[in-house]
Amino acid sequence: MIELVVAENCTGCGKCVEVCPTDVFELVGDGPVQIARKDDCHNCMNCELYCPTDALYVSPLVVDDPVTKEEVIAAGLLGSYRKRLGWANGRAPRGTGDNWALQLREHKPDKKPPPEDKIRTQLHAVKDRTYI
Amino acid sequence: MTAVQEIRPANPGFDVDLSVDVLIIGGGPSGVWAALSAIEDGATVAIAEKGYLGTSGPFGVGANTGIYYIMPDDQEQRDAIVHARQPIAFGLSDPAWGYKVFDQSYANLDLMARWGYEWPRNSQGKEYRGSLRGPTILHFLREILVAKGATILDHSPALELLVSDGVAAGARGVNKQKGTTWQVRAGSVIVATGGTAFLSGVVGSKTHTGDGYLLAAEAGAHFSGMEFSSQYHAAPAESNLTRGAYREGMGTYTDNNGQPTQEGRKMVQSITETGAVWDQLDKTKDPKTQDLMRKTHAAAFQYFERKGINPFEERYPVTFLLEGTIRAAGGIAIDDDLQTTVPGLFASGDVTSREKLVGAGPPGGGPASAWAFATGAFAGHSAAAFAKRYGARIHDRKVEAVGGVGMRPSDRPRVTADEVIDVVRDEMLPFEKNYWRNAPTMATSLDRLNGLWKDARDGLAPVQHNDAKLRARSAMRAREAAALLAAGRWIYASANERTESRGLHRRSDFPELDPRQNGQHVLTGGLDDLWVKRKAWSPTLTLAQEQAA
Repeated sequence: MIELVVAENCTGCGKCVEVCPTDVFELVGDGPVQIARKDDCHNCMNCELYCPTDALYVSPLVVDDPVTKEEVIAAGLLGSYRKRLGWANGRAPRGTGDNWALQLREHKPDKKPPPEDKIRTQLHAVKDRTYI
Repeated sequence: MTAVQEIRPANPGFDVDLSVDVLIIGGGPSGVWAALSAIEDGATVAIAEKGYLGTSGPFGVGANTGIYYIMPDDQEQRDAIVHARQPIAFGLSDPAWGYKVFDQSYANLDLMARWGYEWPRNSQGKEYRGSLRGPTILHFLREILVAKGATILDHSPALELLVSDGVAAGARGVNKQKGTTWQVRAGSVIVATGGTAFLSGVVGSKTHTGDGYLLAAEAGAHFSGMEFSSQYHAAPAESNLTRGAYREGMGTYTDNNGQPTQEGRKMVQSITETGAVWDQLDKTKDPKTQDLMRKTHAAAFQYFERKGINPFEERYPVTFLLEGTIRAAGGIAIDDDLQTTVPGLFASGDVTSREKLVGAGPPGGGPASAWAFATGAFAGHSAAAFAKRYGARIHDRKVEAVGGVGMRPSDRPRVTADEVIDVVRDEMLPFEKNYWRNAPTMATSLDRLNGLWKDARDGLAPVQHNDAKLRARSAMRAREAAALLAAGRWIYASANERTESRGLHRRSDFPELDPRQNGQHVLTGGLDDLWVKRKAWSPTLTLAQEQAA
């Protein structure tokens, strides 16, 4: 769940308010955005993706996971998720942005499914035909 | 219906009042494709999304989701992909729909490439379109929708449908961020609100409370295969990431005694009998594979990093969470044009019954994404064609708002939305009620849920806050509670009818598949009075067969 707004990074632009599907955030006056309804967070992480200034930290846990600003900065957590997905300044890449999944697919040893698993065996036989 | 007219002003004024050819309720991948396809046919379109079009729902999560991608000219691949999963559909799917769905999703992915979406390439420079990343795809498609002139209503849950002489004619709702009201009159309506996991907590599912089921049922829609809804999935403990792709072929589940176990029935047994299940990604020691796994499955590895777990070297506990109809097939019954039993009311994506593609079994990410993309396109085209018949009449035909439970109580408040939701969750989440079903337990559950439905019908209402935003949120919450309650009743009514175990419907009192029930669908519907009936499986007819018939 959302755990932290780093006040000095937040410009109060309201993008997280706009994109949060469950209305977790609330803008109050000119200050940094407030976490108004933490329990409604369902860990989609989109606020982190869209935040133009890396001001937010969403814990991957569904239980309280208190963190300090110093902790998340030291651990390099601010903006780490959006960087992994190739987003920058609130903008999505015009495509998947990376090919890690394909590199993994190519690098992983090609294990044939056991012959009794007819479904996986059939799918495995045609798996490389999807490339164009 | 128990409408109390006083709650509704005599001449309701709406902050947003629109007329369009096609209204789509739900802005996930299926709703977006429905909109794009209706626009392609020249229809004017509005999409009402409960959250934000781009981030909402399980697809709006940054995990990689597969999508089946078959080449129109590669018959071997086509046949393999369409037929591979037939054994786990348990006789209720239709290969003709497999080809139809995968061909259409191919066309959608091809359109995305033409619009400039850059697919990843492998080391030989070859493009791969079999994998999706939800938030990035939805962000891209939103921009296309805006450029093509769709009206997008974000944070705008639909509360009830409008009907004109039995024909779907639009919807009304609120904007929960502004505290305003909206009405959209339309020549046809597409419900694309997704499935429901009964607020089990799986990632991205708090928006998915079965709203579309209730909206459609109040207009008279039927359901098919609601018993195929008992899908649970493992997630690392204290997380809700029920996406298994990160560990595919790499992990080993063990029970609390260190004995190997696996996802499904054995996992439930292991948790029930030994108290816990553990996972470890013990099948790779290769540092490069591990590094690529970290980079590929960022969402899963955020969890391991935060918990300080090295999943390759140490075991970590997992939980087993209900995914319900977000993954399982049950949903609104649709015809070959994605129309419901209500004229002018179409449905697409997870909210529909996906039995035609996956039968009683689990869809897997590949078929599920293809279904969302393809049925969105089918519904968009069908709904646009339907709307054309009404032309100018859309704006001035007489409409009736048909929302019931949670909107128009006949009595004073006697039950709150949170109370309703707590009871529904208590009946739908536990293994001993919903993973393994049996007649006495279901009878008890149905009694409790039916009694609660009467209380809700008479006395569930939004809290009348002075603050308009709180009022709007409360109106949404009351309807979510009503929808979850209704969905639970349709599920147990259908599950009670199917006296066997088949796919994602398991009964401890009928643990085996009963061949005499092969080829039978279970239909259900009704609000105050539930009904259930069986319908024989029938093949999809080709145009030539249809004409001959």
